[in-house]
Amino acid sequence: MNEKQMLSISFIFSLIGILVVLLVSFVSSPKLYSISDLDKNDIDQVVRVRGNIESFHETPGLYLINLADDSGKITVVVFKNDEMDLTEGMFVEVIGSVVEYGDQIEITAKEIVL
Amino acid sequence: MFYEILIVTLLGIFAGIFTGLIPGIHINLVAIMVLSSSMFLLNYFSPLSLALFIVAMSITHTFLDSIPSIFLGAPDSGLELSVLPGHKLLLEGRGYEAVFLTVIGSFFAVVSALFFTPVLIPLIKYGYPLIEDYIPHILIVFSVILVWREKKSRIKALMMYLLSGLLGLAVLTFYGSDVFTLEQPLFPMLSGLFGTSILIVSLMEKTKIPEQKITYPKLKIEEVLSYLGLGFVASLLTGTLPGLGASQAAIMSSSVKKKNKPENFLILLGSINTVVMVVSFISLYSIDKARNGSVLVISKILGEFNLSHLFLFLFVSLFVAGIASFLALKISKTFSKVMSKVNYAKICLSVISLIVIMAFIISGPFGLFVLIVSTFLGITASFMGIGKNHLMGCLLFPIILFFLL
Repeated sequence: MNEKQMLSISFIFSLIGILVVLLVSFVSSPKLYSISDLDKNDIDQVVRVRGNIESFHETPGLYLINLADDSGKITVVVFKNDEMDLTEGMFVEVIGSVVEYGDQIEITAKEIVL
Repeated sequence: MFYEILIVTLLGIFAGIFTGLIPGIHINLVAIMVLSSSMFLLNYFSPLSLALFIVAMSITHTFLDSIPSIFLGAPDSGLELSVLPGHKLLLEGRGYEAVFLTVIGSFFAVVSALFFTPVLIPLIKYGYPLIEDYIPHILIVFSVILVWREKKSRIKALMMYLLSGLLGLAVLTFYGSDVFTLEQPLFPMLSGLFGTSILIVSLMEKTKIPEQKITYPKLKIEEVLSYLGLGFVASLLTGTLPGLGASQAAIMSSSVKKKNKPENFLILLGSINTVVMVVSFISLYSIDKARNGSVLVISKILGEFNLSHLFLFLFVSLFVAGIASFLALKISKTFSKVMSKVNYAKICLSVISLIVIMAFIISGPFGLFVLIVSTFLGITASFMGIGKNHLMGCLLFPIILFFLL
């Protein structure tokens, strides 16, 4: 096998591979949890939860959302990049990392679907 | 207290030897293990001692991680580009000299960081807010310079930059699912692009490693000082801003120079690799921001980080730098002797196997797939004959997008 053939093969395989990684990254979504199922064993894991906004507070740098589903409640921390149009009672899906704050666990949001 | 500090520092140096020499074992991994077992460890050690253990380990690591990069072609995260000039010197029988150059960079980086600390504290404190908003623009400019300076083909260079950028984007934004998980995504990606691909090309080209000689570089003092200075400035960016590693800083700073000899580039990379760690301590004090995993763990263990902590960290860093320099040179001498006696093809195959196993253990089956894809992309760049530094698009491109979007 000469260099030109090797180049063609490696190029084609890398292109296909990148497309597959992109596709998998695009379609895969973290596991959906009930809020009560989350505990300290999940710290640093990226998880997905759904629920209603019970209340929220806005500070200059972040939003603190109290999210509730049928099983329980959790605080979701959202670092401000853009203004968000939040209202109490709104149903949202949150993807984020489980973190420990004080003695409680919280979710630091990576993505919020309103 | 003095003896406790001495003991934890020596233990940290020992851990740094372990993380520095074994590809894939990162300091963050050990730091997180320390954090997660801190409830138990705090029965025997003070929080400060645990933090100093991490400091000693981190500094030692930055002195030793060039050894597997240069001799085995298995880079650590942040030192990807050392493989390229390091491998060149290895093929000239000057592997020891390559390590020597990174050690020069690392050691003088610590000394100069210590010397300039009184200036760096206010500089980072007041300079950081000014530059924070412009980091994507700075990265775009350096990316353009990087591609523009490719002599062989700018189109191919741009293509490799973008393809690696897309791969980086997919890997770094991968949240995972029930079926696919990807822990420590940088390990398989960077190992493929800059490690296994080089080893496979070496195997295909039946590369023979010549007998390694213990040679010392002939350096011009003004050249060394200019590269140390460049490294220092670049490290200020990487030590204060999130997402930038030693390799990106090396690309940015070396793009200022028209021509970079491998010897100078290795000094530059060595200095950045170490000074980034020291600047991270200063950043933690000045702007209360942890810019890498091990400093984050330190901040969590200590809670409050004051000026006394900073000075203790800096002096421990200097002490560790002296010991780590000695260790790095001793160990690389042993590597030089062994390299001449062992079949290089067998070394390549062993290191490839090690990386494959580590990728599977650390990142899972999907990590193995990322390793294979990255390896193909790395091989493509090699056969296109363009610089592998364009593959740093895997980090630069996503970082630019993260800042802009």
